[in-house]
Amino acid sequence: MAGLVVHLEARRRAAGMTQADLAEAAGVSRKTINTVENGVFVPSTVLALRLAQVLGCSVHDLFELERE
Amino acid sequence: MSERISTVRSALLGLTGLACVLYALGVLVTGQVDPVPWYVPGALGLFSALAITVTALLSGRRATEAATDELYRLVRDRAERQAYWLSMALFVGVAVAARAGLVGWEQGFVVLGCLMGASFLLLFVWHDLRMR
Repeated sequence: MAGLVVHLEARRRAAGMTQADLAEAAGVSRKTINTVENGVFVPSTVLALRLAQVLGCSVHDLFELERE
Repeated sequence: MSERISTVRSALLGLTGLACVLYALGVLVTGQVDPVPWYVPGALGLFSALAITVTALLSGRRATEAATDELYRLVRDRAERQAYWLSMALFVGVAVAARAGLVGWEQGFVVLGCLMGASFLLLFVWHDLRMR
């Protein structure tokens, strides 16, 4: 199965937000944002959609499948 | 605020888990079923539960929900799964040790209870620290 490429950190920085800001806006812990950005934790569809909503972009802008 | 809940939770659950391990070690070393007053691990567990609850109440609903988000549930579920199998192994280990006369049945029962509790608590803290 192809791996997951995460662009969350770049998108968050572009929006001028810290991990704590994004966590607060998405209703999760800062630790959750950190582990998602580092690829340690793959978020649920609901959380991925919520993160995209907060950052004003599509889920595909935050996550994509690694090209084989 | 959710960070505070998470920190208090890990610290207190870790402390309670260590107390359970120390109690079990005390039983094995002294051969007595109550090397310290029997209620110490349980009282520490109740204190931890109370302190975590108070911290959550003081931090507010939003912070509490963030501290019990999907990453928390993943960590908790992982610790539960591993603690289940560790507990099964402890049943076998203690039964074999008691049957071989290495430890008395009474002492073995106490050790089993303490280590089963400690296994979930310490595995939860371990995974929680790794996920930071």
